[in-house]
Amino acid sequence: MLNSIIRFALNHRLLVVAITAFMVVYGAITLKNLPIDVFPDITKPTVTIITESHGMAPEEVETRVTLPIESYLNGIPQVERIRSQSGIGLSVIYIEFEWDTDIYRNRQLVQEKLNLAKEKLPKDIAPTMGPIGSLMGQIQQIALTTQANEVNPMELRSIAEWIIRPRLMTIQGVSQVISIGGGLKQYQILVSAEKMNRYQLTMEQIDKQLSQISQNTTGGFLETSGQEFLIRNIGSIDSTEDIKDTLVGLHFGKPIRVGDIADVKEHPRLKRGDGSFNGNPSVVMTIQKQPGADTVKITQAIERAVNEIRPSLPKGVHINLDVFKQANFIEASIQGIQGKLKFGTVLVFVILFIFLSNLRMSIITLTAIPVSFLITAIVFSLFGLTVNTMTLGGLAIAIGELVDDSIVDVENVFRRLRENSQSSQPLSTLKVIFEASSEVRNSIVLATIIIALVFFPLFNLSGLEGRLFTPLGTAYLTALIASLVVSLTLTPVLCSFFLKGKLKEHRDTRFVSFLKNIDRKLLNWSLSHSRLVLGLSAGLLILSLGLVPWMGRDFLPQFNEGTAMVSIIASPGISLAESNKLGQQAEMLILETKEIKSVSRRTGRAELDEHAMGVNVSEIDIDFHHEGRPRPVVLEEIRSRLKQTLPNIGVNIGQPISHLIDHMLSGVSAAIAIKIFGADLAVLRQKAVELQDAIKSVPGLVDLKIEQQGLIPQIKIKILRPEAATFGLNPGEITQLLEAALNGEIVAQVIEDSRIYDVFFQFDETSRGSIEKMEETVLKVMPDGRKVKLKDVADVYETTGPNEINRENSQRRIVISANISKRDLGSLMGEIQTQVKEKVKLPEGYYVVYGGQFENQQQATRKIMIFGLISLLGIALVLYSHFGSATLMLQIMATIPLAFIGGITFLFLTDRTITVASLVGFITLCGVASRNSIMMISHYLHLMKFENESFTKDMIIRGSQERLVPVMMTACVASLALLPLVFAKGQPGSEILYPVAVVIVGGLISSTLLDIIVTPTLFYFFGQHAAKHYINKKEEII
Amino acid sequence: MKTLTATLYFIVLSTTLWAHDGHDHDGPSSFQPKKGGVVKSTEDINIETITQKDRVNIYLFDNDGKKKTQDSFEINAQIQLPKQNKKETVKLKTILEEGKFCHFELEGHPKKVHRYTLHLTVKDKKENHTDKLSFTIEPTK
Repeated sequence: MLNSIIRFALNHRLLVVAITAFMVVYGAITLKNLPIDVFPDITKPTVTIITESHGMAPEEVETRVTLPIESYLNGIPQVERIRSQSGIGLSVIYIEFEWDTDIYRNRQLVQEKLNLAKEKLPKDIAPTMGPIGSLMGQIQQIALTTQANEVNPMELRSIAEWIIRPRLMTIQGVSQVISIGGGLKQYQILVSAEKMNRYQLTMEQIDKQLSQISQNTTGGFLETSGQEFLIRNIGSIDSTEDIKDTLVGLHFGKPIRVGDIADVKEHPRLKRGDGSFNGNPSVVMTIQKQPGADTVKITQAIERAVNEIRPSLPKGVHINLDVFKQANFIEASIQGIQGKLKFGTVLVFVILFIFLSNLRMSIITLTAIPVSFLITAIVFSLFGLTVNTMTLGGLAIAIGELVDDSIVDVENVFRRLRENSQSSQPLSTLKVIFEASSEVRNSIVLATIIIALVFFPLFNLSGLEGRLFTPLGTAYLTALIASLVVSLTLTPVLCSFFLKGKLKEHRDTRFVSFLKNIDRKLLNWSLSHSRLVLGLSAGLLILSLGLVPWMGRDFLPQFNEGTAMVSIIASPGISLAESNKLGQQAEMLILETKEIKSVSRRTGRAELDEHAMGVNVSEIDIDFHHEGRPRPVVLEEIRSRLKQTLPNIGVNIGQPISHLIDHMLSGVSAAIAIKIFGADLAVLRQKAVELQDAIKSVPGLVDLKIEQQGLIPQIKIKILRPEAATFGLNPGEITQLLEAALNGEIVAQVIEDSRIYDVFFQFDETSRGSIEKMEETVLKVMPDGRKVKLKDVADVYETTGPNEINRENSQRRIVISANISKRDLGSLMGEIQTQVKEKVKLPEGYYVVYGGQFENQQQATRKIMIFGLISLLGIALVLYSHFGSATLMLQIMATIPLAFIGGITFLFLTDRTITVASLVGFITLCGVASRNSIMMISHYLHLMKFENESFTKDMIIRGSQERLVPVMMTACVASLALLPLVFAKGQPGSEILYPVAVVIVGGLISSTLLDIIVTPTLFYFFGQHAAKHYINKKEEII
Repeated sequence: MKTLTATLYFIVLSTTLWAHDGHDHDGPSSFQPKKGGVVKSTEDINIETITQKDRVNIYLFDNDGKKKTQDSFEINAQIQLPKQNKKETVKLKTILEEGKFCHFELEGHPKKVHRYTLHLTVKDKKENHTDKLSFTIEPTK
């Protein structure tokens, strides 16, 4: 079949050129339109259920809302984990599905269960599903500020909600815009309990009257004079005056209006969150994108939209677009990798020219790179893949390999054409090219099969690592298969066009002659000292393996996002105002660092946010100037300054995207999450403190903190049933009335220029400002005129209760989280586990689970090891089926440990940490390294079989010399193509690819240098019998 | 004038001297609970109460988070039911751990009320002053 392809290509040369030209043009257009992102889609399919619960306490939210919903959700197929957070008036449930499930199907399954669960929930409580989100979904933040209070906070928020948000929501790809800060305007009716008493009005009466405060109805139609008129009954309110004039009751026949008993005003609704920019109060708008949408394009559209809005805004309103912009990170990352790809291609060309010293051959060979890349772009487009750092990384690793097939083909074609031109009966050029290409196709295809097998473990990785590295493998293999097709079709065709006429005799350059000279001397010595060479090689391998225990273990390398996120966690129970003050203080402290460009803060929870963050938590996004001290130094300065000035708060410093990844992995925004599961909240809190004490002195552990599941002050109003019964009141009636009076309720809406504002009714501050005032609330007036007050039927007292209750897989849990600094994850977790085992004793029914990156690192390493072994077996089988000899198979595979020597040593000298990324580097190395050995041993066998050489030292030296240039060339090309990545440590976008490149380059250097000596020595020492058997066996087949 | 100055001086001084004796400490404490309970603090003692199914435990810590030794203080407890003025004295049972004082357990803990107030009077022997603290206990919570 392969011969047919080559024959067809040579018989239809113009068609091949035309198809290639079409592919190049179409590929270029496709490449331009491919969506760009920083990473592949790494969002775990998760459905979020948000239930607003009328300000209920966390205990009630847990038992009355979260638990009933959870009980229905259990049993949904392919659910991996259900997490929930029951906070004040809010229940958030995260249902995490297996990685490869369809999010729309998942949502449908959840919706079906929610419909059933609704019946078990309290009246008027409706769970809703959050929008389909993406981990990288928070693409931009915008801050609205005003100088010297030119615009009041309520107006600022109204501008955000009613002018900017609707405009941004129309941009294709934007899924949600969440605002925090300023104040959401409300019409508030603040009833005075004292005036109610004076006019002998009860809560029940007021509640009933206010529920009808604003109603429009229809009066049907009036037909007159052949026309019909629509009748409208207008009872809606338009202003505070309308509200004040509404009747609420009668006192001795005199009408009592709202204005007589209440203060009516426009006021911000009760805030559970606030925002600020550079220490000044502001409205911070967070823009989320739809999954799969192009972040860079949306960001450009957002900026255009905001610039269109800007002139229409009131004077004094400033919109800051450059608060947090993910597009900056994407552009820096993608441009960085693209630059490295271009530089790598230039280096490849230089190497080709140095070794081939023939411009035409170099150009034919190099053609494989752009053509393969553009074919890959078309495949990306067909399979819905994006251009991201990982797919570009796959191409960067492939650059060196892409030209390999063409090198082998062009070199052989050139040699055969030259021989043909010197022949007395020369064949046609096309015939020679066909035979020359056909001659090398087997080794090309074999090498490609082996590389494909090597990538088998990558395609079996699941979880985050699978999501990250599968696109890398896909890009790499697609480009490699494209290059194979190019080498079988376009390369012979180009050879037929460009390698015509009288070909000069190809002579070695001085550099190549020099290399061959050294190689000859080395081989003469090594073949005579086989045992010593093999012993030394084994010694080197043992030495390099000895470095492994001295290296750390990590999940993935640290990202350099260009921004940072600081979480400030105050004690639960703190008011929003106090938490705001702390947050502002922290902002000012952070701004003292000269490398800081800007800070934006979100304290508490925004109204539409699906994260149940308490008012005690502030998240500060930091943007840096490009110049200045190294980032870890700056972050350490911020950390210590915050700790010194604000000793009683918890500080967690990370990066926004890394935080989100951590959150996705463990449900906690930190690298390490130690979870204690159990039933009793007090025991959980106690054991969390014990665990924290046990591990706090472990070196390398920073930002150690216990999840803020503490106790907050509460005022409980306990209805005393016998007393309530005496006055004819039932507890439900009382609690309903109290909810309206103390928590308040929305009774109507006011429409102003298409903006809709709520009308809210509640007791005024003086009527509910203390326990004593609450106790005076009149619930009912008895027929004899006696007023029934709250204190008559209830016990009102101060106590404490949890600020939030977190659950995972139907069990309560508390999390102790931490980050790592200047230490590897593996050894740190080992020490933590030992300390916990020794010092923390858990009661029956309580247990600890170690989560976070650690869990994923272990799982990924285990999978790579298992599937790595399987793919090695696969390689062994392929080699065995080709050579029919276990000895030859083992000799080829012996190159792999030789490659590991360099890979391990380079990794030790640079990163000194083994991550999933460096393991991927080792996997790639297995394929690349065994390729050279295949070429070398195949050539020895070729010499013995076709050129009448016998198994001698001279034959091995001749074979090695003839293969030296291709071996050196492919190794140099592959290494130099990756060199730009080796020097890109910590650069945005290169974080994951850097260890991959270090391992491959190190491994290629050691495998190439040792391969030149060790493979011939091994073959000479062990290969005689196998080689003879191979030749004879082949002859038997023929 | 001298008499007035001396009187004012005496009043100010005596207020300062008595300020640490027998006053209430009902504000929130910045001391991190060690046992997952409710903490109230005096200048030198942090008292943590934990209400479990059938018992109330009382722990005493110094400001470094170490358990107080029993010989360093005296403690008395009274309970008061809701809507009642009468306080009833209750006993505190000493619980030992590895032969050393660990904590107190409240004896005569009323179990059928929705809540009661536990009044503790703690005398620091070294400083020779007394503090009063009260905790809301909810046995049925």
